Amino acid sequence: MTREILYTKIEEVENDVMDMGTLCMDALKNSVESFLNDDKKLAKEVRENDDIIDRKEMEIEEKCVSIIALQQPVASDLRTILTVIKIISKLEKIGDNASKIAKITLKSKVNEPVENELLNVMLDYLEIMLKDALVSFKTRNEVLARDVYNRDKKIDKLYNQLYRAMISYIIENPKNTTKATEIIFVGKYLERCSNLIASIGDRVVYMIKGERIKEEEFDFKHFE
Amino acid sequence: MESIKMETNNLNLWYGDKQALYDINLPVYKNKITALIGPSGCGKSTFLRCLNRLNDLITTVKIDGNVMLDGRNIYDEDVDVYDLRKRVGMVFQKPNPFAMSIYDNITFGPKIHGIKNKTELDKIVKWALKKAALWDEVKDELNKNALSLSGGQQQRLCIARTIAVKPEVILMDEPTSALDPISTLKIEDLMAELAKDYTIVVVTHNMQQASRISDYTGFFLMGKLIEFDKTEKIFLEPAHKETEDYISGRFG
Amino acid sequence: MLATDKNVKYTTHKRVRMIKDNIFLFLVGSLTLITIIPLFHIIISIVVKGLPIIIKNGTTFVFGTLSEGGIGPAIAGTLMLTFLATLIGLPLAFLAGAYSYEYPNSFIGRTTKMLLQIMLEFPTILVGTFIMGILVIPMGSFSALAGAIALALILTPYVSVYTEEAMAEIPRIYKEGGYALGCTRAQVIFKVITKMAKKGILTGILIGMAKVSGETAPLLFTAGGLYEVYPTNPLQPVGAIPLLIYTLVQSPSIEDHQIAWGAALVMLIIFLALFIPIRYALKDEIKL
Repeated sequence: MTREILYTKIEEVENDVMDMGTLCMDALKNSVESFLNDDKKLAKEVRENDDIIDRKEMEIEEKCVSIIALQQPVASDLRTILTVIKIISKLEKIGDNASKIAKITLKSKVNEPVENELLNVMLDYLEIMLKDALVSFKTRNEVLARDVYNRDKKIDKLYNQLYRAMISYIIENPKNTTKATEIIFVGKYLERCSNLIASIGDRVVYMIKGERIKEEEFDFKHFE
Repeated sequence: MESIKMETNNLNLWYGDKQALYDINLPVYKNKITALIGPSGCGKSTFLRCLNRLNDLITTVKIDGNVMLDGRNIYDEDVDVYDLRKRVGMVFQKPNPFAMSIYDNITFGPKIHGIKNKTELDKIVKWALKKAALWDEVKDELNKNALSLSGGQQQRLCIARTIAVKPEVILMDEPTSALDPISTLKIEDLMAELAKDYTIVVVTHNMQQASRISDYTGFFLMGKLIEFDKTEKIFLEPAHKETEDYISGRFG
Repeated sequence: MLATDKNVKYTTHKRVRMIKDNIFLFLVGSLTLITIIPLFHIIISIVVKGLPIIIKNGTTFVFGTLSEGGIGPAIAGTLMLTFLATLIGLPLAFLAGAYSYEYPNSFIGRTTKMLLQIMLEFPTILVGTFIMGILVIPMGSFSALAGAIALALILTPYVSVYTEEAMAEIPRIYKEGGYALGCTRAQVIFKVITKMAKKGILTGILIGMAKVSGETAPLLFTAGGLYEVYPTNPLQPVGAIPLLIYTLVQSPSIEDHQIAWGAALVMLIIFLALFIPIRYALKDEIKL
């Protein structure tokens, strides 16, 4: 085996990506939890922790640049590094979305816990999706990555369901408007996260196969 | 945290009337790989040879300045140059195993320095070959002539021969320039491994090699040390335009 | 049409070139042949004229004394002289060669090298006279020692020059490799360079030995000649095959001439026996 240094360094950034993924997952979970429980303290924490995610992204990106500059990776090694750079920017955006959800909690005029099973379902679903996306990246599992990519539709459906439910909620009683709008926003942010996670799947396929998921496989309606 | 193993202070060198090195101040950090890069004739090999006084062999060479090894100037009058070269070993551009068996090549240095005990020599041979990642390939044919090995194996044998005298610093003068890419990568891995126990200074024409393996890089141009810094710094954001031009291939 | 013309032209040109090439090869071949014909002529005539007498006298020719029709003492003398000359000349020659290799630019080094080159071409008869002057006359008699010293003087430049050249051919990098391991100058020369230059040095020794075993002139005034008993004491006169041939050829008797031819054949065989096996053994040495 040659090029031990390169492989050690690639392994290192891969692990960093996994760590960053966990951070994002926690942020997402905490933000939704803070919203549902109207836990302002937790929301604040999520906002603060977003900095950690941002710094982590910069750190990984620096590592990638130095690997490219110093180690000259080629072929699958190069694709891995490029994929890492793409994935971390998506993870960072997921973190931003979590932060935005936390911001809603903080600014919310409705200072009481919210009952919404759909948000919980979406969150659980996203959690598994993100976990699978990261696992497919780490284990080079193309089938899983394609599956992750396709799961985006399901979240879209859930979001539409949520949206309609909230509209009828408002129609039912206009007093609910503020609360319902907040829930729609949270749902929207979660739906965006799903898009980001799906495109991580796309990137993982590129990393493994050297080609992106084909155009005909794209379902444009997911991109509004 | 990172201690200095060797250091040159205002080192100047002349070949006859022609000055080849100008005021070189360069630290060599302990257990790190320091790479010296630069175009041909920039003085990097000449500089390397100052570190174990191999330039002494050329009668026209005149040297001015200090080269400190563990805080002592190696050009002081009372320094035993043969002992110095034992402490500062060297691997050359072309593999140069002596025309004798693999075993004799490794034991050559230890014997010179007075080790006669057969079991001890056997131990050194095994240890050095293992360290140089060559043991598995040659363990059954230690009596084979060293010149019958492949180029890459010969170079690893030379590294084994160098470490057999237990040096503290290993100087490498373009150690892979005569080797194929795979042998080159093997040597590079070996260097990274060796850096755990030794301090390595390597001269290389191959900038990518410097970037891949070294911790510190010095860029030489026309006998001057233009820039010396951490390798990442040199290759990502060099401070001097000459350095940037050279490493990005826009040189000359 | 045009293309064909060109083609024809091209073929003619090619043919002319091939003819030229063949003529050249033929010329070189025949000239080489002319050069080596005398060599073969010598070998063949020595064998043709020398073999009958050896067959006639059998082992007596090789072991017997001159009056028995043999050249035993002369063979022994030649071996003894060559051996002694090598013994005396070799260490000196080797050291001189090593010195001029190590210090090529020093005054002594340059002078040594120049003197060795001159000695290589030195008239050997003068060496004989010189040794006679400093050894034979003071000692009062010819001796094997005097002959051997004269031969050693002839052997020395060969060995030295070959040693120096063989050492100089070793790439610098091996020398530096030795120094880089902490060797002293002497260790580099004797443990690294000598081992690697082995082939060239041995060639020099062989050529030197072959040369001195065939020398006549330096022995004329030093060795004396001893053909009726085997030599035992290096301080006594000794015979040698070439010396014997020289003496016999001057004699008017046909028998003496025959023995001279036989002796020549024996010398040729000794020469080849010395040269071929070692040459062959050295061929397997890995070339640098």
